[in-house]
Amino acid sequence: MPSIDVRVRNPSGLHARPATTFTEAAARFESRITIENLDRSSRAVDAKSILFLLTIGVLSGHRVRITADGPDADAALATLRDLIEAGLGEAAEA
Amino acid sequence: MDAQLSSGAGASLGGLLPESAITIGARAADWREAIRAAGRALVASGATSDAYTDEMIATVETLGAYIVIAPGIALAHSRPSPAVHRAGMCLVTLARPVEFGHRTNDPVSLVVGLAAPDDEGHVSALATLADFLTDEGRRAALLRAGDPRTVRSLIAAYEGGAAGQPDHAPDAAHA
Repeated sequence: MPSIDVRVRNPSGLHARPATTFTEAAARFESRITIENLDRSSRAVDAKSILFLLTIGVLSGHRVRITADGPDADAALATLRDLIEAGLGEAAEA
Repeated sequence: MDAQLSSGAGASLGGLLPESAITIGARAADWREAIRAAGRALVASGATSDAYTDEMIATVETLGAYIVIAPGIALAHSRPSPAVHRAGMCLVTLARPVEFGHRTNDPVSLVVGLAAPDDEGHVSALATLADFLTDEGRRAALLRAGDPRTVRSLIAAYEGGAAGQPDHAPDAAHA
């Protein structure tokens, strides 16, 4: 199964609006997608669920591993990596 | 760091949720009133001042209904701010469910409020709370709870009894 490791850079990490942006993007793909917080040694949880995403407590600076399984897995991973690297729509703060 | 997200003082739900922060059967005509009920519970427990209630409402106005994180459950919160005196949670069940405008998780019958003085504590407390709420059986039991004590014992059971010794012990005098 393809996976990527990426560092979350936007100020508020994966909660609030950035978390919503992330789960909504993940939900557009057919593949089963999971995310784990490498800095918390978390479980791999459903990346399409805001509730599960919150359980892994991703702060700015944490590294996450995203794994996708399905027909559009590679496209899903590329999209989600780009989103995270672009700051998930959150303006950078000082 | 372990998987239990033990960093930060905010990780124990029992310690964050005294009985004074639990309201059963609140009346609310709409989502703003539902969040106001949560705000009052946070103020009553000493965690926040009234300004935080307005900040929680502003969060929904800005970010939309994303705070409805599971069927029937809204997680009212805002950023760490001067209106937060200390980390705290509240739990409010509604006499009648209200709509928040969420595509799939409306209507809301349980509002959980969360306040934290800093980002790390905020995200840790959110993580612990979200983990509690991922279990459908626990969610159903919460929604059925008829009094604050039942809510506290559900959380204590989840936390292996640790919630029986809250840090602040504001309810120790209760009969």
